[in-house]
Amino acid sequence: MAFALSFSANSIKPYLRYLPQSVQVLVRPPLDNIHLWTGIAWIETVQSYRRTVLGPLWITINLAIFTLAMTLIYGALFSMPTREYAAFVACGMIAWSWSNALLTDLGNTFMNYSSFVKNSTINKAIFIWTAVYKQIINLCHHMIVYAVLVAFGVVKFSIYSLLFFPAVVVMFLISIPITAIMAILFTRYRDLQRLVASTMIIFFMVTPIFWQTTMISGWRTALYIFNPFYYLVEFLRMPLMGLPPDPFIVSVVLALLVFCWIAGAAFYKRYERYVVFWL
Amino acid sequence: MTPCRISLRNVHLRIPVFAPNQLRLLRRGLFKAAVGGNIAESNGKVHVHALRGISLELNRGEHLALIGHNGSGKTTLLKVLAGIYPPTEGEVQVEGTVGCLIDMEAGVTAEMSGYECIKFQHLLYGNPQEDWQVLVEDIATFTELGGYLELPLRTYSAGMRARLMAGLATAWRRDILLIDEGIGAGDTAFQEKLSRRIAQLLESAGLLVIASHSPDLLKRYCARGAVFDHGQASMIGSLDEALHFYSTGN
Repeated sequence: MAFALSFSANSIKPYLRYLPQSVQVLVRPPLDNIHLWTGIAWIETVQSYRRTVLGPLWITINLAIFTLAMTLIYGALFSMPTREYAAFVACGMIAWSWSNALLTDLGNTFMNYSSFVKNSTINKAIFIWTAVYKQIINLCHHMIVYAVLVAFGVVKFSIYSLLFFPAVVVMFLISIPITAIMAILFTRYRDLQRLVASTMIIFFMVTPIFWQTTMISGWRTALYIFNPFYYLVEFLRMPLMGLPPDPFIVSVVLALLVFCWIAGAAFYKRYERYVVFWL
Repeated sequence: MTPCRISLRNVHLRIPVFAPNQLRLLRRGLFKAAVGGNIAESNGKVHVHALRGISLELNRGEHLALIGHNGSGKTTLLKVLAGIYPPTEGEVQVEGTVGCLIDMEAGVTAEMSGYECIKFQHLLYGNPQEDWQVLVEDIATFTELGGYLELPLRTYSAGMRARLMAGLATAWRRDILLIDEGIGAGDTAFQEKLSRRIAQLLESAGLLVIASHSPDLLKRYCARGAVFDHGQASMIGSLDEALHFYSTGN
């Protein structure tokens, strides 16, 4: 994994100088030190298994229990075929857990690594990449549930499922600038963390995760049409469910990617130097 | 030889304070306190003027001792040199690789074993190409921790922990070493060993800046000294002069 990463990083590096200065600030240090963010994330994951039998697998179990409960209750309420609904909810929750982390867990990045930021010469961008990389590790944990569902034939596997890998890469790339913004804002405004955490519960309700877009009509469609989380969740969920990609959703996510990099890189370059004072 | 130089020109650092009742603190006249730099206010925001107009020129081999009361700006200056604090005003130029031994315990958790701790620090500060097993052997012989390295850090005594951290702090060769007080922990025998190790390290390190309250420690490594007072360098000269200035005030 690390080898593949460093290989692709080395092939990208010569082209970095064509990127705007602000983007380079966020990209160059991590690409020069791939072993650092992959290593820190890995060691922390290993550490989190210490003295527990299941460790981070508890998140996976949470996901499994949640999917089961939702399928039993809402599947019946919506009178949907059990298998189809279970696949929909499980894949949606896998996609949601990362999208949700964008504005919650990932915002705590600098606070989690404050001892490094305050005392070491390690570049702050490294920790942003570490935190986002940990989302991939979390995703791998969730894939256990996915693998079980595929094995039991609940989730249909198709050629489009392979698109999950590029989708994860895009999700990784979109997470970097969002984390850069959120981590700085959370460090400066300590109320934000609580505020956003409670807002995310509402977003969880209004994003089509346990209900489908075909179930609502009229003005309520605005709930997902103007909801960025809908596009992020759908972007990951479609390949997970083996569905062909929706060009509209893919283009919205790619537009979001470009917008986030422009805004995030500029914001990070402007305020990155103050983080150490706010910690 | 790689370049190895530190140059500070009129460096000021203002650290914003986030505290409840910021302005009330000010009105109470806290800014005339004996400890620390100056607390001041601008645009309704309270900040500590932690470094005031520091100018400094250090070249290879000119090891500098930072002397001063608690809160006089010694550690802050080290952090500016390390690039952790961006200066509010003035110019900071540091040429050469920097080893910053301010807090070696960053990111180390109590559940890590000694070996894992070494591996982790190697990941953070070492060279990815070198073999961490070599580092383990080096630190195992130096710290004499032996079998304890297999145990989690929470089972270590404070002294054992200090040995491990001191061993790690001095494990890599750097052009510029920034050391904060507190590195000198452990018993007398270990102290001797540590000072030999630091001396060895200094043979290849180009430049050392160390903050400490122990004249013996400073005399061992430095020829130059800077006395800090309320964020200002009140004198910079030979170490003997600086120590004299610090104890007598002139």
